[in-house]
Amino acid sequence: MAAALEVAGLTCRFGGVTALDRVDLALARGEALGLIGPNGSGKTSLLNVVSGHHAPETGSVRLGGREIAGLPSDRIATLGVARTFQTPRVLTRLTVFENLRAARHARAPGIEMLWQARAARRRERERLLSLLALFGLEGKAHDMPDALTLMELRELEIARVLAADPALILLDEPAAGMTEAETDRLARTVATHLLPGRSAIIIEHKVTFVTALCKRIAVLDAGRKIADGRATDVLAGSAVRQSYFGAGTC
Amino acid sequence: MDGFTISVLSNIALFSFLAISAWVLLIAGEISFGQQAYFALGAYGAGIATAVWQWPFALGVAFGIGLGALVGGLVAWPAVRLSGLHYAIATLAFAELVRATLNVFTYRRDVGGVATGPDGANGFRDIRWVYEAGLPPGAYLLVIAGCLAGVIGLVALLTRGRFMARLRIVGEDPILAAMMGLPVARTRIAAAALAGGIAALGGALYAHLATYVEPAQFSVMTGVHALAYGLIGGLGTVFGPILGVLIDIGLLESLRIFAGYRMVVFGGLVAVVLILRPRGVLDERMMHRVAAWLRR
Repeated sequence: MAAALEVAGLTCRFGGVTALDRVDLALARGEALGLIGPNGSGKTSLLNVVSGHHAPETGSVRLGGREIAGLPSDRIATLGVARTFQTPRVLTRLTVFENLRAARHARAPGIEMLWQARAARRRERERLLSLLALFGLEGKAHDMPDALTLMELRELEIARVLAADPALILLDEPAAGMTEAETDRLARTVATHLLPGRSAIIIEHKVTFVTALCKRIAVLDAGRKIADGRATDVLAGSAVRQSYFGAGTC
Repeated sequence: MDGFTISVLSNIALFSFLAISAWVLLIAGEISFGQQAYFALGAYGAGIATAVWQWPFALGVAFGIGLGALVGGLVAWPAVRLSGLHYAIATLAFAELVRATLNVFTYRRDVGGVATGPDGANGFRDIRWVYEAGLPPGAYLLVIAGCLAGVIGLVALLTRGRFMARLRIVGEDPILAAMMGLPVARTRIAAAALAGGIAALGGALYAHLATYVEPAQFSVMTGVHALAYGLIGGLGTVFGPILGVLIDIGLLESLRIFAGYRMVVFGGLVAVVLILRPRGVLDERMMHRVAAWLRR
């Protein structure tokens, strides 16, 4: 069976800056990979290439064996990839519920552009409200997103990923700006609802969050992959400690 | 109803088509200064169909709508790659192209011994189907109102379905829309075709009310007004652009209280509304509040 995701020789440049430098990365089905590295090391660029926001210069990206490098992001999304953003990205002119429903539009049959049967409408509504209920957000379904806290916005993004029901999930610093208690709560939610049956790449600076969710960790530094392996081994490695915490701290 | 009231109401309804057309594109995140071109295409297309080809009225209007929708989609196909100001300029350029073409477009055929059809800058007269059918102005007003109700009904249907939601998502954040699997370009092309068809329907009805159209009527100012109606009235509902038309045609023009200062007052009103409520009086937030109130 083909790997969930297979990245090979991926290079991506912006002007004179090489954001990704011949990166190889493979992700087995159902595996959660932690992606760490200092700011500007290329983590988000990797997510942007995989999700189709940027086209790579060279290299290949295979999703379940199928080449997707350079495909437009809407095609990649419908092939089963969903992501969250470093700064929560929601539609400010739609209600919380409509934000969630947005993830269903691309997957609905074409006729529903014009007409959604009453039963299908009710089923969708119940399912989306139950997703909001996972986060205790069902009471805010009809609020505008600016009534939500940062934590709730991130939860809305995660609910939106769940609504899309993707095979591959890309999380970009989901715990940034959260308190320790919030981070723990988020880790539990991701572990129970998001990860089962799906593959995931999780970018996060909070090492406890990553180790709680991922058995494997890869490290990027200046666009290159400098380590990839069991979380405990990688975090113990000297190259990683040096790039992450700076020389001389160990 | 006296003639003046009928003519004011007809004007309000006809401008509403144009305003809703510009509003559809505003929802999809595109600013068009060129919807008057589709109004013109509808007027000329339906006019030629009924006056020159002697088609029945409904078929002629349908031809006008089809022409507007087709051209709207075709123009959008390359233009959706542009955004913001660039798209606005492209629509303006296309509308001027249409007007310049109509200025030289001559298509005269002998109909019952009279040369009938567009005659370049001299205009297109004798679009007389409505008068030959013996329809009084009041009855024709009902036809116009019925068509407007049809457009509002269509938008309501598309709002209940997923189409309008997709337009709004693509309009607010095309990058996020694509990441959720929505084809941004195709969605905007569909919006442009819908907008073209709606404007063309207005044009077709207008041509048969006026019996005479000429290229000079479809100038840039018409398009700018159409755009301003949605911006004043609000982008949250299809009634926003209609409210804009009511304010401008219904109050400023018809009451004559501002006489020669109408454009000054209207321009000032647009500026004030855009500062106080950037997305118009009936904006999305207001409509969600209304929806919440209705749910109680």
